[in-house]
Amino acid sequence: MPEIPETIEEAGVWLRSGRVTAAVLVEAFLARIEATQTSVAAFITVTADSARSAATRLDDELRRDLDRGPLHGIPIGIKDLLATEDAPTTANSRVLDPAWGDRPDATVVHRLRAAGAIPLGKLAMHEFGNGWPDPATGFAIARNPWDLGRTPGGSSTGVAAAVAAGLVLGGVGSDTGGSIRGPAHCCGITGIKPTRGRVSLEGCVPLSPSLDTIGPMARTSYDCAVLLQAMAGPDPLDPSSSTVPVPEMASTLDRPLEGLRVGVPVRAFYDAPDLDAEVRRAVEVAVATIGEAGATLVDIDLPHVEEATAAVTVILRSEAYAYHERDLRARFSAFGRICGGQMLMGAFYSGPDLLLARRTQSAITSIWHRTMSGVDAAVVPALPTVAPAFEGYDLDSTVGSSPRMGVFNLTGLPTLAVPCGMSTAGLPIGMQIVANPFDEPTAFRVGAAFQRQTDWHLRRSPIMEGWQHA
Amino acid sequence: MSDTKRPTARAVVDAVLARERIEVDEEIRDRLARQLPAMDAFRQSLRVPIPLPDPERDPGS
Repeated sequence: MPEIPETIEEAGVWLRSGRVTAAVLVEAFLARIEATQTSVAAFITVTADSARSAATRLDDELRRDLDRGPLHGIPIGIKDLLATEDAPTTANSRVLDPAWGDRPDATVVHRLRAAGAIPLGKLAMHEFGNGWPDPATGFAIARNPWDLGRTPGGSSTGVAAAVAAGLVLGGVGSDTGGSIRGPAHCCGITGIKPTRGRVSLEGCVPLSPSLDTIGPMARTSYDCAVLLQAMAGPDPLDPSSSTVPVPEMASTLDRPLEGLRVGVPVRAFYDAPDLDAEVRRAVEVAVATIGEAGATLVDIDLPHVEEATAAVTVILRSEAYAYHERDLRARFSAFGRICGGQMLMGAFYSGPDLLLARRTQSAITSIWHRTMSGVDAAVVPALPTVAPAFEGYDLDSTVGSSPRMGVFNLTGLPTLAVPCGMSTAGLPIGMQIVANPFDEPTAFRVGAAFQRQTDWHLRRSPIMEGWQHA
Repeated sequence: MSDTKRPTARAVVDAVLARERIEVDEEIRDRLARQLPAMDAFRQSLRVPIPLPDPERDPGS
């Protein structure tokens, strides 16, 4: 196999120097995908023909000095809840009407293609972005490239697994309660849940429309910044998309952290009893590294996490139930056992429960936004443990949203997940860098500064390491 | 309501699913019944209004 770049930034240099072509990249990644479909199983559908055609066209453009920017010729993957004109959309479910995906590209996919990115296919996920890997859905289950006996995290399982296995250079996930950041944590990659409204939801199968957020996943802060740059912006097809101007996402990545105030909410996010000591230690060391890089560390309080977790759970379950109510009633058996059971929880919350959840959301959002306005960013752990094993997982525990992640969907704050350590068992650990509304560049800046000081984001999974010797 | 008169979690699950006219098997009904206390805890934690700090009267809040 030819030598292949490992980041979007590196690939951009190689493509422009003529060291590699988009066609070579596409063929190499397609071969890796085929070689791992029975192990990592990241893809539901591979769109080889359209990827090859796009690569030929984009190589020809580069030869004629027509350069679309940093994503020109970059192979990516798309979570299989976004519509693509060259493949069906399943949301990993037998329930979704196949006709749903018989349409043009989702806005975000359209924008990425226009920026020169080359989708290689549709990536595995939890059914409708909900629950836990479930063989009853009939789809292959993506596995963690660091340990095939463990989940890549959910629900953007395939994107995280594909990036960590070196099957794509980046991808598009969605995050309703941690579905980008949890998989990033589990697979040792970078991913951002942007500010609510920053990215159009048009063409995305909804889970909880008021909490759903689409965002990029890749190896580095820079790579996520250039992906988000292409994806972001208002969309007349999505009334919930924001008209707040899109800044240059990568413009401040090289700046040092001097002058930045970074909050550390110890009481609510670090002292929680469920947080594994190894995870806490890794994030604490990362915070110290950010301080050594020049940021001023500040104690802050982001209170009411328990109530915020309740609110995001009630909203998510209620909205998901509203969307699927008819199918749950008419053909429950078509759902997977896990997703179907979780969707039913929405039936146990009432209209007043949802209104109280909205009241709580409003109050906590006000308090947290005020606290965050006093700092430039905050750093908190992501998941409380490393990636769980498939075997022995307690399904009864999947009642609520993850307490350290869904709260940022509730409050709309942009949150970047960045690898910050490894467990003694050799599994990745991530942290979250939270920024103020619509200030994703500061999250990327802190992430990039941390990634200049450390190499956690460049560690190779055993699957990726294997490509070096292939 | 005394504990002896409180409906069991499984009875609550059965009643809700009957109201919603959704047919599911015993395993899922039992799982929902086990999860019901956690769902109730979420519901209860939303009952108490969260006080908002007043920056005009307490600038340090």
